This record gives sequence, structure tokens and C-alpha cells, in this order.
Amino acid sequence: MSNTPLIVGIGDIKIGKNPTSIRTHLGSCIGVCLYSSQLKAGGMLHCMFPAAAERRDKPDFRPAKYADSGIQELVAVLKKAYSLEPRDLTAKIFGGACMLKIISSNIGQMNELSALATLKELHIPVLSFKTGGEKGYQIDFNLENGSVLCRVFGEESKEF
Amino acid sequence: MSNEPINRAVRLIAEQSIDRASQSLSKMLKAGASIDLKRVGMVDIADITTDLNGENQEVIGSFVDLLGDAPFKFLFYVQTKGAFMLTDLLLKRKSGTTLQYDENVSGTIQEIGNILASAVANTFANDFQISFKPTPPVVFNDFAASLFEGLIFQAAGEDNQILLIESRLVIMKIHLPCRIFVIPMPGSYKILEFSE
Repeated sequence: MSNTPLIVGIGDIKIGKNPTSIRTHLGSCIGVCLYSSQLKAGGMLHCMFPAAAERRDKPDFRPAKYADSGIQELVAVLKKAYSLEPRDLTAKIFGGACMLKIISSNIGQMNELSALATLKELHIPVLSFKTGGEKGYQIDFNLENGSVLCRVFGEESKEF
Repeated sequence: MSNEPINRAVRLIAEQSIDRASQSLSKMLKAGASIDLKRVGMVDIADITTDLNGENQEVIGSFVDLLGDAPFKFLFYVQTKGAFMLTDLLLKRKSGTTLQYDENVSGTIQEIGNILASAVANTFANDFQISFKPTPPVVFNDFAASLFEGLIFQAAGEDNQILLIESRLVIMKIHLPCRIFVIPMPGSYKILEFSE
């Protein structure tokens, strides 16, 4: 695996092939990892909000900020780069914490539900997820085997 | 919105505000604190958070919401072990006494956040003739990138670019680096531009 991981920011997508890993930190945001075991390729989305809705019509619309449009965008990017179709992919989901009471309501949970619904529409199976809580997440997505090393702040790392 | 007039006005006031913050903190800690204004300007949310994610820091930080005519958000943080050193310094204890996150550490970071946020808020309030009502500081021990996500959450919901004032602070006596981020909320841009 490459020593230096690709880093994903907020409202951002990164893709790669083995030997590569992709890393991000999450709070109430959701990280969605899509992987093709055949090609050993995949990508990660780091989205903030559940649904793009009418924002799709705005000139500065950034699909990766939203769970629904972000997953569609990640699928499109993987198709363009590696000719992968949704049927080739599996998903893992992380984040969605309620760590800051100053952030309104249960945005993390709404992000998770929107991501699950979009993946269902695309017929992409969700193999595992670790969501919720009140602490941030660090996730490292290994494109050699599709595993995700997840560390919730203050806890031991766990592989998914 | 044109960035340049805002940047010039905000940079000047930001420089004054961090000078005042540095003086206040030095007085509180009875130790020299040097502050460097790292950046003032519009940044892309994906770019700035990619940078912070890459740093991979575990920190203790203090959030303050500055409510009012031109709302700002404020975040001060220091690496977890650094917060322990700061606690010993403030409580005049031998360095190395504090070994875990407890109410003394939380209280120290809360108080420093309060002092710094007040200094920044007072400078902006005086120079822009606006009023602020700061919320009590809220302290978190978490990944720096996760805290920063909380800081920009609201502003990033409205735009892909945010106005960011970033300062780096060093407590000279213990060579301790700290970070300060101030985010004027999108609703306040108009007031800052008008004042130019």
C-alpha cells in the first residue's frame, strides 16, 4: 500500500487503485467508500448534507457536498476513470456523529439515511457501516482489499 | 462580492485583533505569546479541510459563537499534550503534572478561548461599530479536522468558499504552538465590505 494516503476534504471525492489508501476525518459528515474487488479500485466521498434538492440548479452546485448527489457523482467518476458500473461496487459508510451540540438536530443521522437510500436506488450493497456517537472519526480506506480502518476518537481502531 | 476590499479591511482589523489577543493571553499566562496572522481571505472548503485532514492532529479546542450584527465563529485549539502543558503553566504547577484530560484542562482551554475570542470580538466591534454577544466557550477533545468541520458547517452550507482568518500562536515559555480560526459568517460579509 502506498505510504502517503490520498486525503479527502469536505465536499470532496478522491478515487484510486491499489496500491493506494484514502483517508479522511469526519464529524457529522458522512464518508462513503465504494469499492470494486475485481479491479481493486474505489473512491471515497465526504459529504456534509443529506440532499441536494433544488441546489442542483445553482451555478456553483457542488455535488459532493450532499449525500445523494455525491454518491451519484462518485459512481460517475469511477465509471469514467475505471469503467466501473454500480453493479461492480460495494459500499461502506462511516461518520454521522452528533459531536457538536451547536450543529442543529440530527444532521448526521439524516446524512446516513440519505446515503443508504441512494445506495439502495443504485443497487449497491452496503457491506458494513459504523455511524453515530458524539466523537469524530478517522477512516483509512485500503484499496488493496477494500477494508476500512476506522477509529472513533478515544477508542481503539477497528477494521471494517 | 469582491474579495479584495473585504480582504484589505479584514486583514487590518485582524492584525489588530490578534495583537490584542496576544497581549491578553500573555497577561493571563504571565508568559510571552507570539501570534502570526497566517491567512485572511476566501478559501475553498474542500481545500482547507484537505489540509487539516492531512495534519491528522488530536486536539483540545474551545468554540465560541459571536452572535450579533455580524456573526462570527471562533475556534482555538492546541494538541492534547500541549493542553496539559498549558494547564500546568496556568495553574503554576510543575510541567508534566497534568497527564490526562480533566476539569482543570477543560477549564484552562475554556478560559483561554474566552480571553482570545473576547479580544478578537472587541477589536472587530470597535473598528466596525458592531455589537457581539459571545456564547460561553464550549470545549472539545477530538480530531482537529472534526472540530474544524463543526466550525465551518453553517458557513459551508451556504457557499463553497468561506472567509477565513487563521492565526498561529506560540506560547514562548514552553514553545507550544496553538491555532486560532475565526470565520465571519456569510451574513456579516456585507457589513465588513460596507465598512471599507
